Amino acid sequence: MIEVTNLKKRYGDTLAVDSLTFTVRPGIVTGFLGPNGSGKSTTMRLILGLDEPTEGVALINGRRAREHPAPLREIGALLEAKAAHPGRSAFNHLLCLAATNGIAKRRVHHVLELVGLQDVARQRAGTFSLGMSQRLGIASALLGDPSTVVLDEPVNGLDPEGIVWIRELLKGLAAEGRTVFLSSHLMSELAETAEHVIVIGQGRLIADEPVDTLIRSVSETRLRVLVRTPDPVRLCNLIQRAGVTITRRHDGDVLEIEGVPAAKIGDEAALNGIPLHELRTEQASLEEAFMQLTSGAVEFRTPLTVGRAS
Amino acid sequence: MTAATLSVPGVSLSRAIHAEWIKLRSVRSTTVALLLSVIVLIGVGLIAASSMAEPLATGTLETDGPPFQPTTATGATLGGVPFAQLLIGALGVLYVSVEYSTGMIRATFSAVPRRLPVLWAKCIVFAGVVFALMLVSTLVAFFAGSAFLAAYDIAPSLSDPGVLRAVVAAPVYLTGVGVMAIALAALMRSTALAVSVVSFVVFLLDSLVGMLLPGEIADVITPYLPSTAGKAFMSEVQVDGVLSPLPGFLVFCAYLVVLVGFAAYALHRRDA
Repeated sequence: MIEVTNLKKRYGDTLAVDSLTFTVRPGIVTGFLGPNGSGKSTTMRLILGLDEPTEGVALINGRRAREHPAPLREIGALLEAKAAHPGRSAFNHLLCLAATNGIAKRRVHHVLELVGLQDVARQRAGTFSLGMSQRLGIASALLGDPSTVVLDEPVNGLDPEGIVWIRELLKGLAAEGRTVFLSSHLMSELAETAEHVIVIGQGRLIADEPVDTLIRSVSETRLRVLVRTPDPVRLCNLIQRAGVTITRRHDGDVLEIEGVPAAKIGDEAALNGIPLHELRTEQASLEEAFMQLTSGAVEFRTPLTVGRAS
Repeated sequence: MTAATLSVPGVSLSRAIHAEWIKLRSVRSTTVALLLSVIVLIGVGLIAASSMAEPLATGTLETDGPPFQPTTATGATLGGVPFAQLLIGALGVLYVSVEYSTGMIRATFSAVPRRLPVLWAKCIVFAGVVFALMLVSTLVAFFAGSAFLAAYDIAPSLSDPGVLRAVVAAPVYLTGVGVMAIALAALMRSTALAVSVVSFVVFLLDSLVGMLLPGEIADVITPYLPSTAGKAFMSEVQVDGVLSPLPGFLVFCAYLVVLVGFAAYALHRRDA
């Protein structure tokens, strides 16, 4: 369990994290969503105690990171893929981290098997591909068998097979009752994995709700109806009015209509004898929902804050 | 590790030391560089002893050489110290700064969020390894170098006044340079910057002070520079313009305490 209360972090003139309050609950995968530079990585570093908050507090299982006697057993983190000494073997990299918390050597072997690196355990980390480095990072996150796992953009650099693997792994960890907190700048990535999502933009909380609710709430405000008809021009004229946008797709017999519910379009068409070959409501995609949510925050960005990647 | 230490989870200084020991021994370039410092300490000592044997015996040694040039028989056998210190200094810096340049430091500090045990452990492990290696190397250099000097009947003996102290002081000094390097690297977090500063302070600073400052000011400052303070307790005889051994040792230790103190403060306060 992660509890973040009124968390603020200021770097010079930039408020990278602005009064964040949220809870990441155990038993589910929680997504942490925001555009690049929105403060996700900073928030994760604050949770881990790597950065000191300007204000507020981040607790893991009721305590700050540095108050835990064996931190790796409480929280495991993957912050960046290539975070190992390139000249040290994967095994020794994990072994020295394990040693700090009194974690047994057999656990090092176990996590190496878990992420599928057992055959290259004695190879230097510098020879690893990005995907293998990500797996090594995940192995180090799981080293202490922690109740909370935090991963910053873990699918970056993974091949499709690796992405499926990590999704299943994270769902499995959540099903075991662990807290899984996973950041991404792509909503579609989280849709497959996360049940709950916390959205931030410009360091501020934008949404904190189940993924389904988020999509539904966005869809309600942004209904889009797809109509396929052999007579698009007549249908257009029929429903064209202020507040309605119509876009033609393909060879022109498919219309994207926003601002009129599907039932109303069907009624109008039937009344006027216009044949419809298809009529359906399209849900806003996750990416659209996300863009809409964060667009307000993005608009206020100055070039200075854009340049400050977190 | 014993079964008992495994059963109780938690960060402790001894576990941090164990972790840093794994880090030190598991990178090949580190072990190679440590071996190189052994070779330099012994090799340069032998070269100095063989080339200086005759001038030392006949009293024709030039006395206006650079500050690192030995002026005594024992000093000649320890002639590798000024060069070995550059390697030890660079290694000490890398032991810390590589963690910053690779991002490993965030994994390290996630495992030990209180951070200071990492600094203490690095100092203890590096100091232990450097002292053990350098003590053996110094003894080898001293006895092998003495063999060259014996041909001219000027071989020093450990029972001569101050010689045993000088032979033990050399590894102590080199260990101190290593700790200084760790502290500077923790403060600066940049390999290039910290290596430059360490090398400058231990190798060039005393020459520069002598060259650039007016004589009377340089005479006041020079004895208190880290390398000159080191020379004070590494020399078996009292050298002009240098503190006597105990004050020299204390001044050298004061530098270490202050630097490690600053490093600890910075590590504790700064974002990783």
